[in-house]
Amino acid sequence: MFVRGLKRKCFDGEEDIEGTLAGIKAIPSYNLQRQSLLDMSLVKLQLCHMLVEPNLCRSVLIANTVRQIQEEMTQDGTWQMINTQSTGQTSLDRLVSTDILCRSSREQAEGKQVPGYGSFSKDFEDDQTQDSSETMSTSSSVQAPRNMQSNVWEMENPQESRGNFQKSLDQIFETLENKSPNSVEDLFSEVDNSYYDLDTMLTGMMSNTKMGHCDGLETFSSPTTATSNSNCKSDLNELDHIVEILVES
Amino acid sequence: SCAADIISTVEFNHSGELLATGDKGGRVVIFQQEQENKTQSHSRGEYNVYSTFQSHEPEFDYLKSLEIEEKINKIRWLPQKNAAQFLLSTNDKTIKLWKISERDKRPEGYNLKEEDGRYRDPTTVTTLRVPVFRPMDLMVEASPRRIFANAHTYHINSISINSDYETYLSADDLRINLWHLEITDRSFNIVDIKPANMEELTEVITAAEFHPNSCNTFVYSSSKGTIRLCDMRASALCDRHSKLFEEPEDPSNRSFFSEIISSISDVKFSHSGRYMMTRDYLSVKIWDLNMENRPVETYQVHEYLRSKLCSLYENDCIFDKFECCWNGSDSIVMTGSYNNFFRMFDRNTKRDITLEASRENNKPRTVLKPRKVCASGKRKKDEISVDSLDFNKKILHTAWHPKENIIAVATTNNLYIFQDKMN
Repeated sequence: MFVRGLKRKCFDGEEDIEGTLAGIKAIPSYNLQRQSLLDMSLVKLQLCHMLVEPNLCRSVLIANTVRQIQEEMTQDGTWQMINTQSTGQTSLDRLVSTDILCRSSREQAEGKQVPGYGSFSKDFEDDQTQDSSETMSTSSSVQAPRNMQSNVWEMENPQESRGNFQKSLDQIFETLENKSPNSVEDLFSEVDNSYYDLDTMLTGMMSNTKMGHCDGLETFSSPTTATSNSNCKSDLNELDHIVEILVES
Repeated sequence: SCAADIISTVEFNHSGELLATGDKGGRVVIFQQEQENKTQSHSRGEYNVYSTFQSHEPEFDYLKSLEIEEKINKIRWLPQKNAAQFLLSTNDKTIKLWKISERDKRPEGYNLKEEDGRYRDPTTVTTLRVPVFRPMDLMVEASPRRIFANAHTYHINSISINSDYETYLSADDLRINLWHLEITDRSFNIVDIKPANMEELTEVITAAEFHPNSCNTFVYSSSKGTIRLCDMRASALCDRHSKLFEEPEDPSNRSFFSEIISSISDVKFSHSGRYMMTRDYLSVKIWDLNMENRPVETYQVHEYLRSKLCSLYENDCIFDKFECCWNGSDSIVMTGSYNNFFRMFDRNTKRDITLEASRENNKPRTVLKPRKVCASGKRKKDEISVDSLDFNKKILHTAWHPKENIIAVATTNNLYIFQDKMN
């Protein structure tokens, strides 16, 4: 059951939960787990961008997972999916009202520079400031990473980190162009949400090229063999496409 | 041992006398079975190193500014036609045909050269003699006979030699090419699933193999768990399959990871050609080529991992590509798992066994002890709980001798060869 009217606190550890919830076992909400999975997937995809040559199969599978989650999130309430990590029976009714979903898609339609996910999670944050049924999910947010056994993802302060997404967006693009992920740890800790339009990200990943290395073509001689086929040409076009997208963003 | 020693492929030749391994450092090591020792009738010949050579070197693709790994993805042997042995080895981009030949004699007694190769002063030559062959220590030489390059934009995952022994296919994530073993400057594209717009890409090719008997038939598997059987007589570009093998999803098991775990990591025809086996993340499936809508047999490799999929997704283990293999009579199938475990399934008795490839527990000639993983509840003695499994110790590559019960199992850095107990 959901606990109503509970004052939110900054959760540092288990003791706080036990103190405030007085023995009520916090079950991670399906939505939070799903969000966590989405975040994890997007980080994995970003990591693909940084690798020398991403494994296409892995990238495709992760991208499909992201798409699935996105589709379900937009149709929330219609789907009844059993989460593999759920510790209890969680056939949850949707916690996010239709109004919020509509708001996020309207903001997208207004052509904001902020990608779709950013809008959605921002609204989710707004929703959480209200004392609604989401309170239960908030208090269980600390449970979620422990259940997921994730040491990469700490969802301690989902509200605060979501506010920084624009800053992190710039940081990601900068990292991609410099190709020097020194602060990969920092990148992970700040990036809680998707900052890409899904298509942009897929384009960058699928064309199997490295970004920001166009000058590499000039510095190296190019002993490509005579039998290079038209596939090379089309992949070069995709490289141009990537560069265009980066520049636009 | 370093990262370059990581074994990336294992393959017996057609007689089983030779066993080839490829590693991350681009090396091929071939083992040869000793002639059976007549005095020690309780054991078959052991496998000793026969030849080692560097098959592939790291390369740099200047056009894309990307390094091409030298890791050997697959080795496939050609059937032996003469004294020499031939195999195909491939990395992500280039396939090479290697000739492995023995030399146990050398010519001696040249007229114009000394034994060390230096030329003699012609004025000192007063007689003529005919050079003769004299025995020498056995030398095994590997030489590259063909290099098949520049035909793959994406990473090669499979090579398969046709039953005509003249052609072979190579498959990458999006395309399959057909080659003639004699011709290196061109190949025919027979499958192309690359979408016009890469943003629409949702499925990749994961493995491909020619039918063992039917030289116009091949299959390829996908990341969505489908297998397509194609007939090259139907059209030049086999984009339209003759058969599509796919099992409908079990709705009770549906999760966000369903697609990932359905991705097929290996496909192998049975020796008879009547069946094919596929490996996905949690199971091995046997398909009858005459039935497309579901497999005829399904074996659970490590079902206890189903509740751990999220963790396995996080640490990327869910993307591990396990291979599978048939025994010579197609009655047993084998595949690897984690914690250096590997599994065998007897198709006739429906019994299965879990064994471990590790040095600690097994001295040579000891019988392997069956292992058991305790999924939940009370752990019995000698059982291992799921949480204590070492996911870094994975057996991805296994091979079964074509005629005898001898198996080769590759852990990360080591190769184990096991045989059944002879009475």
